[in-house]
Amino acid sequence: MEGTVGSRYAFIYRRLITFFPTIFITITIIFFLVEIVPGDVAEVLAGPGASMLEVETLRKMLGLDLPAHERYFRFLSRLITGDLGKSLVTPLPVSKLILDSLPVTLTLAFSSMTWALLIGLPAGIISALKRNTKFDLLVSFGALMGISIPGFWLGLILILVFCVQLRLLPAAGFVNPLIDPINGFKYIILPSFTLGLILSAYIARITRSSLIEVMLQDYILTARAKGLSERIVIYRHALKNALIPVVTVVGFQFGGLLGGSIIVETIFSMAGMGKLLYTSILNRDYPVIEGVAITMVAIYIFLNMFVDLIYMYLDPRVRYG
Amino acid sequence: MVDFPIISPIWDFLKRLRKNPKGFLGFIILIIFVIMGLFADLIAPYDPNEIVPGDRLEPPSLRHLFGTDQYGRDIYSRVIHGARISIYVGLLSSIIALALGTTMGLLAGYYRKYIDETISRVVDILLAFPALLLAILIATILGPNLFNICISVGIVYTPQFARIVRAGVLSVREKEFVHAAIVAGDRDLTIMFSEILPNTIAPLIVQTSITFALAILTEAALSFLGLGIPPPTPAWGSMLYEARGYMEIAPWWTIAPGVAIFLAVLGFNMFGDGMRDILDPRLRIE
Repeated sequence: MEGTVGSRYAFIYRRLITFFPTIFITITIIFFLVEIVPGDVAEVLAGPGASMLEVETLRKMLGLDLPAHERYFRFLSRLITGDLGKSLVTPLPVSKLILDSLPVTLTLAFSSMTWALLIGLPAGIISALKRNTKFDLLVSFGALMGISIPGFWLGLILILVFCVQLRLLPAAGFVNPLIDPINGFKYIILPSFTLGLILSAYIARITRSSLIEVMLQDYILTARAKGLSERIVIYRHALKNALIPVVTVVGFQFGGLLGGSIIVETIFSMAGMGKLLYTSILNRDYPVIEGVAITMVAIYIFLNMFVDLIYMYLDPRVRYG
Repeated sequence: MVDFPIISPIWDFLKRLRKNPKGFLGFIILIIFVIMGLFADLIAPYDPNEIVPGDRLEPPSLRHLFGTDQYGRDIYSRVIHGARISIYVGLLSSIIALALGTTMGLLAGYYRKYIDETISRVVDILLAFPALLLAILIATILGPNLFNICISVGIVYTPQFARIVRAGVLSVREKEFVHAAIVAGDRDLTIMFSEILPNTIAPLIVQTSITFALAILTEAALSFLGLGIPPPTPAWGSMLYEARGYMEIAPWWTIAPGVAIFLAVLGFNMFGDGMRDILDPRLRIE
């Protein structure tokens, strides 16, 4: 027993220790990736009519005349103090742009996840319990369609139906639901449904297969043999174990929502991090691209670590040698 | 049945596929898409890039089954030609991911120690990026064209292959037949490819099919954002990128390319599911 607990702490410790090098390496990769993006910022910023001298002055002003490694160290030392630099296009610091857009993306992620769980979990559970019935077939096929539908197209079709044809919901923008719940809900419903529906397909699939597998285990047979009602067998014994892999998928997909936000926020013109990344790529606004990419990857890595730790907590059978 | 050594396993496989409705339907969809792509020039009634100013934004009719776009180009013909591009992207990206991932997985699993450590860290780092973000970053650097998009999509889906192969190698690395091959003096490469790799074929085939679907989706997303295959190439994603501004007056333009992406991806996913059922009895839940 002592040994198990010990190795568990050792695992947590190791997991936390690898967190920082991974972040550091990804930051370095992002810096140099963005560094080699073609296109001269100074030239873009100076405009088409600018003289060579103007471009050169601008380049010096932005610190772009320094060699790459020097800029990298400057970048790192600023980063440690939380300074992500200044946007080249707007006069705002990158950290402000990110902090302003973060609530939008988080609202989108949480409401998408709500949809996904609301649809995916019951669908997966019921279809596992009613295996090989019409309902099961329907869910299986629906889930297959869900993982195949392109998110951006689903978003466009929803806009086409609910905004252009029926004129029920706004097609673009964002209102914080904590400040104005009614309007906030109206604005978030379509974008979050777009991401949530696709996610629910993954959740339904994994829930179904996981629950089916658990229901075949001996201890379920034992529970039934003890004369427990089917309800208790399912809720107390089966679901508890069946949901472990679901937690992992939910955790990982939460990070995947960050990628999805790039598309959905662009389609629905929501001023979130995904949209920020997209516009900064179009504008070649390097500090913003770096800042957003680093923030997204950091959140993603953190979530993955968190999921690993939760997984270990939920499933003591898992050994981390 | 006469037994042909090469045809027999394929025939056998097709017979098993017939019994799996999902896989079989997926297979049929794929065949249709491949035919569409291969014979696009014969099937499409118009040149996909032919601009006809008099036919701008016409709704679907018998003359133009899916209508026309703002340049008067026939959307049906463009969708047919789009199949060729999607198949190209799916194929090339999957080959890149398969080749890179298999090599990494084989090296890591076979040599272990610091080689495994290094490769596993690289895989971890790649997996630390949300897929679409990584694809966008690489595609932006390489510049938007068909080949570069395939490279970026291929890199994004490499880690999954590396993990599958590495796990497969580790599970057979200490088996007698591998030791026998080592003792017999076979070269490392021979052992890796003819003794070890065949044991990971089943999950690799399934993963390739899934990657095909993911590659088509990712390329379409990139092109839709205007960061992928540039217009006027009739890629499905690029068509939606152009159609976005005309949703109110020409909704048909948005529908056809999206349905095409959806069906193609659905086909690969169904085929992948079917393959998993057939090839991996452990995952088959009866």
